[in-house]
Amino acid sequence: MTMAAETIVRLLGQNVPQDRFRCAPDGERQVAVELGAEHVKAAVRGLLHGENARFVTLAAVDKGEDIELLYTLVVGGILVTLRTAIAKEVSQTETIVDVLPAAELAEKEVSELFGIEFAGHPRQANLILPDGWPADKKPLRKPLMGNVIPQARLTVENLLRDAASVRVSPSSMSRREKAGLPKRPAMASAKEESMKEFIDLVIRTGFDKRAGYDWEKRKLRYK
Amino acid sequence: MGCVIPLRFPGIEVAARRVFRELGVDCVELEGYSCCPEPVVLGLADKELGIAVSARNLSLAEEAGADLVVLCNGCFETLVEADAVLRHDEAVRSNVTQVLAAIGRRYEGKIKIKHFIEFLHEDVGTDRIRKTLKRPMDVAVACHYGCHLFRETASADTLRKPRMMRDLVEASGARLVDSGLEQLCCGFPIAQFDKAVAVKERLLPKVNALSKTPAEAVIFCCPACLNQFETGQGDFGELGVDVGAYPCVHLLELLALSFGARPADLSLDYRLDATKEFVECFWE
Repeated sequence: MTMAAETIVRLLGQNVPQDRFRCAPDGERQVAVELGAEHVKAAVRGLLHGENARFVTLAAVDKGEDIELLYTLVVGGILVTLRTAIAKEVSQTETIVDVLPAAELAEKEVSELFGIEFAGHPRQANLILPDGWPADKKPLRKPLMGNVIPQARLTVENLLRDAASVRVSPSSMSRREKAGLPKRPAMASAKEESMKEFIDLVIRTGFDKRAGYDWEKRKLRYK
Repeated sequence: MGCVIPLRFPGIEVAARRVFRELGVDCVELEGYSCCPEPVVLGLADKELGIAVSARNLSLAEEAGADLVVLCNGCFETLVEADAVLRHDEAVRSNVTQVLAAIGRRYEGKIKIKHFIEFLHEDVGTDRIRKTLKRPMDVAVACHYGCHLFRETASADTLRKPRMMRDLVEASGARLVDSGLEQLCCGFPIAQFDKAVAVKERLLPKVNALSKTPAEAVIFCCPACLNQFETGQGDFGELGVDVGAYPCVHLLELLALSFGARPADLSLDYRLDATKEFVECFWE
């Protein structure tokens, strides 16, 4: 770790638990920090304790499933970028304007163009868009979409739900019974511990995150 | 077994069990297996996941101390390719070994993976099949091999398994006829993107070529190809194509019938009418 990164870790560590952010040097005097949106304000507070801390900008990138927010500050001559992702289904995060007033216009711009609501933001009137612009039209926001091509989505959902490319449905079980076979084939879905092992494997490959799979709803986050 | 055979075509599973039993082959069920994964969309969608899932399935067979006999062309290709990658690519093997270790598994490459066609041809033999016949299939049939059957890892002889398939079909007593388009894809992968193109550009030329032969049915060794043929021919009317449908029979069903299985044993309820009629007519 560079000296710059060590400095930033120390500042962030005052306000954010160490296991809640990941800090990586991005050059001699440049540091990138990944963290959850709920820790951004506390992280900014921590950085403001550094020498000559000042806000540079807030940028947004539409990643398909999430809007990525990049808060950039300079602290003691080190360029720090706080990187966080806001799920499009949520599209809301806390404003940092109360601790860093210079972020007011940047947050407003992101809000209007990408549809992220910064809760507690002081400004109501449009900054970039004309008055009367439809509230549901966000010029730089794409529809919610992920990496899995439409043709593979059903198969991916079947795989993560039943460990099979074809759904283990009531009709397939009834077909098997009619054929004189056990209702379920000896696949992972027939045995709880095998299914757990399979899911563990999927999570360890990181595929569920890459694909944008919602384990609670048991389907992809996008259609 | 794969996913498509036990969940869409359980009759093929019944036929497989019957064929192996009649031939005196003792099969061990691979408990807890998952999708291989399917090579057309899943295998390509995420290679990291694909190889890890394949490796887990291979480790189950290794743990059971049994070589793997695969009933599906797609599963066969996926598993054979995964095994080859794990043998030759150290970076991938190291990564997969770590993932497997984290779930309490390991794969050391100690098993053989065989397509059921190779197993029946090499390990059982056509002579034993002929000796087991109870009702030789006195019909003219054509083969559809399926693209994944051409996959070879040990040699460049891509027609090795198709030749074995032909020998097995003939061992059932059936008379083999060629349309000239046996090697053309059924259109299943294209159908994932454009069903009409798949039917018109792949299936229809095959069926037209078949219509110029005395073939009464088409024999498959891949459940995805069989599915594409059955559903695709069902779509002919919708696409304005006036061609009769060909019965679609899996090689294991053909062998089971020739070993004395009755149509009712093979659970053909959800199959194309032409297939049901063909099997029932054969019995009458």
